Amino acid sequence: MLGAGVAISFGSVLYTDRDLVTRHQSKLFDPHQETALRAFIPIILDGVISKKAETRQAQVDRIVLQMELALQYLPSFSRDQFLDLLSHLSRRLTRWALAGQWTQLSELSVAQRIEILQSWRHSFISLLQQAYQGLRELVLASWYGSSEHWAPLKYNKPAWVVPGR
Amino acid sequence: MKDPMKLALDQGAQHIDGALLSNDLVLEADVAIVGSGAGGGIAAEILTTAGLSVVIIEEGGLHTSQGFNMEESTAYPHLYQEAAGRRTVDGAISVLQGRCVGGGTTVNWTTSLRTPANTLDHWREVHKLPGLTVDAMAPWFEKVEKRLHIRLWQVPPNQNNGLLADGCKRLGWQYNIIPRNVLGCANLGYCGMGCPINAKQSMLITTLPSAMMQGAKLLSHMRVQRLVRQRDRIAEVQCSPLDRFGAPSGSAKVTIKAKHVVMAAGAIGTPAVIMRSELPDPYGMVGHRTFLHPVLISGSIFKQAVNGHSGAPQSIYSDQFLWPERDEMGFKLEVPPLHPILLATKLVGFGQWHADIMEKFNNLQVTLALLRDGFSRQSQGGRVVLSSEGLPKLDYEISDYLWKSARQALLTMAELQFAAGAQQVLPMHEAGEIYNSWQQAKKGINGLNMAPRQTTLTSAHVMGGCPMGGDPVTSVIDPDGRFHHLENLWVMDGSMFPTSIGANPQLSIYGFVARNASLLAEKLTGHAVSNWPN
Repeated sequence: MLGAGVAISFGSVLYTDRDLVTRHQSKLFDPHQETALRAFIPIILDGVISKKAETRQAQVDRIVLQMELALQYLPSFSRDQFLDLLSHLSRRLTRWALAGQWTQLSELSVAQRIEILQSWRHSFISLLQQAYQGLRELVLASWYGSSEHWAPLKYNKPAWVVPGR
Repeated sequence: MKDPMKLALDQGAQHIDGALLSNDLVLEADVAIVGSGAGGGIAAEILTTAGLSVVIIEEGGLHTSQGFNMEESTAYPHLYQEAAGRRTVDGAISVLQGRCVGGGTTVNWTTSLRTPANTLDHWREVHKLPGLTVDAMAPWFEKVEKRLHIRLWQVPPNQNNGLLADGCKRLGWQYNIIPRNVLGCANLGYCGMGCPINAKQSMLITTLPSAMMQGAKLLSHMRVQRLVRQRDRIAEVQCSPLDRFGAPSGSAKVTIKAKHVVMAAGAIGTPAVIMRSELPDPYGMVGHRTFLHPVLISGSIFKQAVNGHSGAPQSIYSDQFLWPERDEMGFKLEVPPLHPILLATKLVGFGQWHADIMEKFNNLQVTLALLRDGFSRQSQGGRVVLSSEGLPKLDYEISDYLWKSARQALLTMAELQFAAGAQQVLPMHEAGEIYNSWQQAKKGINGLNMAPRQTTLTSAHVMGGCPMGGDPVTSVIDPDGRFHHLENLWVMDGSMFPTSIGANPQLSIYGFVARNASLLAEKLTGHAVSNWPN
């Protein structure tokens, strides 16, 4: 159980393609944590993530992997706190499901998922606010760190600069 | 421009990468310097110039311009503390700090302002530092300004900065041009990811390679675990090599035996090393009164392109509200560079709403208000605490005193942005809305609940925790930088300041460390350092 005053120490946490190659063996999330992540990644990225089911699935897979890799760069206390928070969210959702509103997390509608995120965002419970902010930032950082996602922004880095020259 | 660090290494300068180390190591030196940022870099060059042998120990990795590919996804994990995700204990304030060779100077936005006269006045009056006058410090600032090529930025500001100036002009508010530590700058806008063309005069390409060419040894990916004390002296520095993710690898034991130790690990790192070494702290001062410049953020949308990613990140500031007459937390107005991750994570909300604003990326102007921390009894800062593994965290409680100025800062920025011609303004607050007029914004911002994790707060400046002062009861080091309770331990970084600076701190750190490292060199060699800077 999480104590009071925990910190989520992440946000703009990234990885490189080299890391993707070398670290993808690691399996940080347990099935419950990963289910919670997969339920909310498409909600956070609504508006930029693909609407085609197959492409969207591949994009979610990549974000999960990138988040897992990103967490490797955090000090162990921050990484553990994030994983604990994910577990906490997962348990909380499961309890609600058992209370009769839903039978499975995956059966939540988009509107219900948005409502849950909004309730965490404006919650009076510090833990839920931190969980919301941490999850949101890590997903957005993972998405916008990839140059393939910059087209809607009409952004690119200067092509003529050769680093180190 | 060629890479001075690469040139130094090619010519035999000594660098040991802890991530590649497999054998135990014992090194000896006149001075061990813990940290290679603004404090450690300046100290290293002055001490080696004086003929002293130096070992520099850096927790982060050695990354040079060839690897600075102008992408946040590369820069943040490799160049920043906790991959740019460090936060205060309650998660309310994100803290951007460098962690690499060169420290914050490798990734800062180059703003180079002297310690404000009002700040020095406050230190003299309240913190018993009578010698620190503007005139007494001026020669030291002149020296580092010469060494690091600090000049007023001569190129017209980019639109993001230019609109800050426009708003000030229309409202009759004061503003100034920012001096920058650059030479041959191409006005790219990527300072925060490491300068790819070696224009920024960071420690990475100035004092560190210079010190290494004069014999200093650099250890990277190396964490100082403990300063081992024998009676009233530090006898040795015990270090642990880190892997490239920053975790202890356990691959070797590294010991530095030095006659003197200079702590320059930053205002969170330095108190943390002293605390986990269990050094004398009879008045419980170490790590307390750790200050930030808590930053409020206001976004605005313009009809014309602003392109905040392009051009010198910071070239204009306004101190119109920095020194209010009443006991309030004043604030400095500046702007940030805009890049995809930085904007996406600081922009509130998610989903389609968030995506719609991200699409306006090139039309966004963003203004920052940096709150001046530590100048009032109602502004006591935070404190450094250690995790069970001895890693540092910053516990920072936000007072009502701070929240009052935070709201005023959001109001001020909205007024400024509408005056500059913004079509819409969005204060970064979880309940903030997109406002279409100053009147609408005023009403909306006055109704916001200013609370942790609802109001977006960030900080790129950490100061204090080992403050200088004449009285050991109320300070940790003397005005020359020596730790009050040991003979051979010195602190030369942002932790030495008794309050926040009220300006971007890099030049303050350079100036004070130049002064104190010169005094230390003179003490150790018996003669003044007359040949620095060359």
